[in-house]
Amino acid sequence: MEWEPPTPDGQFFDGPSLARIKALFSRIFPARANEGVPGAIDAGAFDYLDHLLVFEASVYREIPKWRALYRHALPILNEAALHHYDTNIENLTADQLDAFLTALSSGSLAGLPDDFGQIHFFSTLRQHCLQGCFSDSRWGGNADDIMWRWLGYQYDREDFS
Amino acid sequence: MSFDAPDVIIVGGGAGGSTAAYALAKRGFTVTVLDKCQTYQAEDFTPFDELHFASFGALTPSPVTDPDVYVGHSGKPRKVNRWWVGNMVGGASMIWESNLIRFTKEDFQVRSLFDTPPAGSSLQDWPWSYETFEPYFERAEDEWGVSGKAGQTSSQEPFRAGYEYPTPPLAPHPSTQFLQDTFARAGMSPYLGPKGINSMDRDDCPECMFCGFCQGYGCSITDRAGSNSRVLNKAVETGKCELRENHCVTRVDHENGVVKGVYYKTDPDGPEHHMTAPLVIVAVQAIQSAQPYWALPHVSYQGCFRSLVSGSRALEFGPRLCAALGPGWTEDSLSIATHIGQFTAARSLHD
Repeated sequence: MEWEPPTPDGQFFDGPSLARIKALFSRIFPARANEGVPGAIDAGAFDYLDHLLVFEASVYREIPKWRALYRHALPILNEAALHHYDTNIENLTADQLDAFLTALSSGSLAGLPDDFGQIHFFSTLRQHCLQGCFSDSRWGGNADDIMWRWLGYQYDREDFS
Repeated sequence: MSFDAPDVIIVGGGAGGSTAAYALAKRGFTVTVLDKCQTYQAEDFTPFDELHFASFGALTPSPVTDPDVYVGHSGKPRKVNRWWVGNMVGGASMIWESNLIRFTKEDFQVRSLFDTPPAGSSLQDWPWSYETFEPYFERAEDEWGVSGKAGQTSSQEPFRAGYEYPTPPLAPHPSTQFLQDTFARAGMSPYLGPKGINSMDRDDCPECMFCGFCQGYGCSITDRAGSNSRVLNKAVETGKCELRENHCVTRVDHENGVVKGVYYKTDPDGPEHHMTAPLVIVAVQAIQSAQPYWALPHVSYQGCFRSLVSGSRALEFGPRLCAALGPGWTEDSLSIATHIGQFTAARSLHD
């Protein structure tokens, strides 16, 4: 029997949290319009994560852990943004987000608890961003198959400038 | 004929167990294959989905409920996802890339290749030679429908004069010429590898359509060989072989050093059942196959396991020679270092 993809049922993040995920994703896989490359925002990668985190462990055993991780880590990360830039993550400029994410990715973002697990959280965030960009749109990301159209997978290749 | 008291019990319907089942059933033995999983059909592997089938590990055993337990030099046990095993009848042969290279002459004489055996290992030469096995390689290549070409370069294993694979090699990938040229410049002798993937229609299985969802995925049209579509189905068709799904063998039953049968469960929380047969074949991959024998007297696999976790590349040859395409781990990093082709690679280097 053909495998049936799970149907998204509800959303995980509240408005401010989703805006923060969206901001972080926007700089993990940014669009490069001059090269015709669409980005995580164009692909709606944040929608993928928003739906994924609602699924049961039967879809994937790590999902409950991810729920707990985002619940725990996102507020702390936002506190760090307030501490460093005096504003929420969603209001940071592209340059500020880049510096913020670069520090997080190497475990050197100041002001976080020692046991935060910066590198682990960044790698989870990055993984979900890329999955939301490039996975089958049945999972809620890759809106209108935009990344597949850009790659030329299942479609003729297109530029998105 | 009774499947309740068969001539042979085979534990595991994967590449080894199913090939044995077919060989024995053809010779008139009654065979019961016990497999702890269920059968998947080709269409179960559609629609293609990288997240579900690969990233989310839908086709491999859970590292929580069915792990390998890895103990590195730290001594701390860790549960590991056995990503090279399929959680379905057919096992790894349902999700592999079906690289069906033969063992080489050197694989049979591995102890003799070392002046002194690596410390802590228990390397042995096999009691048989490549030549003894050659007819069986040929038979397996026919049953599994291997596509390939004999005698391409000196780095291939020797073939009987006039022998050719059942079907020609797969159409080259766009990168093939580049790779061949590059390796040749480095003084090696690359060749198109034999694969259990159909380069043309054969029996009831079609030619490969190069979908790209290969290793780690199930084959959606059975062009890639799995034990179900190549040997187990034929074994069952003889009327002499029965497959019992959801039968998880828990122990080997033995008395005075002689194996009498097996114990199994059909429900994790249910009772153990018992089944006897004059011959029991345990074919559930290298490590798992050895586990039931630990209970038997006079059998020590300690050396094999020690060499598996040694972290030394030379020592890793030991178990891998017994298990083509078996994975090895490097020291404590848990990075997987699978070596394909056993000593074939070493021979290429020296030619």
